[in-house]
Formats: sequence, C-alpha cells, structure tokens
Amino acid sequence: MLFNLLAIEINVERFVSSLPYVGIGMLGIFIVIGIIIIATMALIAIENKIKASKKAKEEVNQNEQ
Amino acid sequence: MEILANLLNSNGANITVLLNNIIALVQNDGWKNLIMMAIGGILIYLAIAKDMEPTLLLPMGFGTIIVNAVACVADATGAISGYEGALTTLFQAGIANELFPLILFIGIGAMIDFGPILTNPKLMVFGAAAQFGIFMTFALASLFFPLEVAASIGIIGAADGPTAIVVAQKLITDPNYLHVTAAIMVAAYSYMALVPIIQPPVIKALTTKKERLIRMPYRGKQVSRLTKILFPIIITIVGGVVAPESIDLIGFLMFGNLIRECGVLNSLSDTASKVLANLITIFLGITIATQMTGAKFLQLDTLLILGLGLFAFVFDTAGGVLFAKLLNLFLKEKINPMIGASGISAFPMSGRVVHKMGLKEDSQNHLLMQSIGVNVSGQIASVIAGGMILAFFA
Repeated sequence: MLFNLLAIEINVERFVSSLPYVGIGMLGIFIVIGIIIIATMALIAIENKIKASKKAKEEVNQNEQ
Repeated sequence: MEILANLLNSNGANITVLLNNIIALVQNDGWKNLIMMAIGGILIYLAIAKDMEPTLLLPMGFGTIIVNAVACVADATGAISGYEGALTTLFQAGIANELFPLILFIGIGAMIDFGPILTNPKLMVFGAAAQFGIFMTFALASLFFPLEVAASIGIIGAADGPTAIVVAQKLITDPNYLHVTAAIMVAAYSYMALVPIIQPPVIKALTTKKERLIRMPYRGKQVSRLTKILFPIIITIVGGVVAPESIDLIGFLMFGNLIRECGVLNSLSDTASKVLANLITIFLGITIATQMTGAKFLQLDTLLILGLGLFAFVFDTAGGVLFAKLLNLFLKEKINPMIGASGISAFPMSGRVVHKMGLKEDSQNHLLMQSIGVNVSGQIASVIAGGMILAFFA
C-alpha cells in the first residue's frame, strides 16, 4: 500500500513489518540490562561476603591472641 | 584603483568569467552550497554565542564552509565539482570505517564514573526504558525509508553521536540513501545540545506537581575498587555474549573505563579523557562536514530526519518517565518519575536537567546522584540498543 505525500512515499506495509522489531528490541534491551543488573548485584554481594568473612577471621585471630 | 582599472581593462575577460561562474552556480544548484555555507555560519554562531556543543558544532560549521566553498567553483563547462581533499581522506580513514567514533568511546569511557549506578544497580532499568524513542522512531521512519535506513534514523534517539555514526555507517549501504548519513550525524549531535530545551516540557506534560515533589533520599554506599574494576569487564562479557554486534561499541567504552578505574594507568586515563577525546572530536566534527554539501544535505529527506530525530528524543524522555510512573504503581517507596527521563545517553546534560527541575519544584529535593546514575546507565543501554539494531539489520 503506497501513498504519496509531498513527493515522499509512505509505505504502510513496511511500517507493519517493523513493529515486531520494536517489541523484540525493547524486550532485548530489558533482558540484557536485567542480566547486567543481576551480575552487578551478585558481584557486590560476593565482595561483601568476602569482606565479612575476612573481618570475622581477623576478629577470631585477635580474640585468640 | 589602479588594480581595479587593470582588472576591468583586461578586455573584460575577468568579469565575463565571474558572470559565467555566477550563472553556472545558479543553473547547477550552486545556490545550495551558498545556503550550506550560511548553515555552517549558523553552526559556528551557535557554538560560540550560545555555547551549544561548541567542541562539535564549531568544527562541523567550519568544515561545512570548506566543502561548500570549493564546490561553489564552476569549471569551464559550467559543471560544479565536489570537494575532494584532505577531509575526504580523513572521512575514509576515520568515519567510513567507524574508527573515530570507536576511539572516541575510549575517551568517553575514561570520563565516566559508574559509581552512582554501582551503589544502586536497579536504577539501570531506567536506562533501558529510555531507549523507547529509538524503536518508536524506527517504526515511524519505516513509513518513509527502507528498514535499514529507518533503523539508522531511530538510533538518533540513543542521544549518542558515536553510536549513531557506527550504526549508520554499517547499515546504510544503498547508494540512494548515502546522503542520509550526514543528516543523522547532524541530528544526533545537535539534539544532544538541545536536551535542556527538549526534555523539561515533556517531563512536565507527563508528571503532576505531586510526582515532581517526590523525594528520593540518597543512600551513599562505598563502592570498592575491585567492583569498579570488574564492572567494565563483566559488562563487556555480557554484551559480547548477548549482543555480539555491540562488542566494539561496548568494548571500547569499557576499555576506557577500565583504564580509569584500574588505578595504575592514571596518565593514560588522563590522556584518553582529555587529549585523545579532544583530538578525535576535532577531526570528527570537521570530517562529518564532508557529508554536508548542498547537493547531499538540502533535500526533503533531511528535514524529515531532523523531525524524526526530535520525535526520538521526545519519546525517549516519555519512555523513561512513563516507566517510572508504572513502577510507582507497585513500589512502596515511590520514585520521582523525572529521573526516568535522564535514562538517555546525553551525559551529563540530562542528569543535570532533572536535578535542576527537582530543585525548581522544591529547593531541598536533591536528585543529582540518582539522575546521574540513571544517565550513566543510559550510556550503556544506548550502546546495547545500537548492538540490537545491528543484530537485526547488519
């Protein structure tokens, strides 16, 4: 279906065919960002855990001394 | 006077040549080059007088004058030759192969502090929401252009010049649409400078005063050096695995950030964020101008692309704000929806705009850390969006 407006062709079929990309694209970005958020939170959590266990060990060592 | 007399006396030949040239210019669309030189002058004016992205608009404006001044000269047959010179060589060497924008990404990476999002990684979700304008613009542009070209136009909404250049260079291969690249580059960079003008009315239209007054206390946490070092590496791996087409964009950006955060390359980090970024910016601006000749730029397509670029920025802003409002329906501790608008890549302008708007509503409402965090996540999300677009159409 082609219209012509001010010498610019308007292609409605192409517009319809672009819509799935809109949905998949936005979903894709949310998934990738979601993975990054999870990875970052896991990284911070692991680091906090390591820090906490190091602190606990140091406290035990200090108590033993 | 003597010189003028000599000129007139040289059997009027000089004047005839001059007149012939003027006629040839008018007959051969040379007037377009004159208009482009005026546009170049306007870009220089905006850069100097209005301080609008001067690092880019000034070289671009002057480059526009260079390429159009040469193309204004008509030869003996009346034909107007296009510009062919050092700038063309620079274009082939630095932009046609996407080298300049990627190198610039190292500098940008070295400038960014990811600290604000590492203290609250959940804020990154707004960076994703604010890419809405890219895909809406892509759909709208597909009414007028082939899908590959429409996708390149949509990426203007990334508010990220280097990504726009890389995507456009990779996707637009049809000779009938090569002229579109210049308009995309110009739109991407000039709208970034207009963020403080474009965003506030959109944010105001989509939020109530009560929403704009929502306070978001900042709970500053210490982010360790190890986290800051591992973050760019993790992002690169995730980006490479999930969206392989974005690996160059993400990789160069994160490499720059790793140089900054590693703590042992301070000199390199300093050079990347200042000297390297400045050098590339000089060449980028003046080289992009090679595409701004009258014949290529003064077309109906250009106006359409500039309009679509504005649409992209408006819908990016709307996407971020509306997503924050949607989240507020489910959250106990409400989010100020204005911070959603800073999920675009225009860093740090967008973050500052939201912060200023917050202060305007309530002088005690400080949203800077949250809005800058969202703004930084927009940098990452826009690169991923570029990768998605390349994955679809490259």
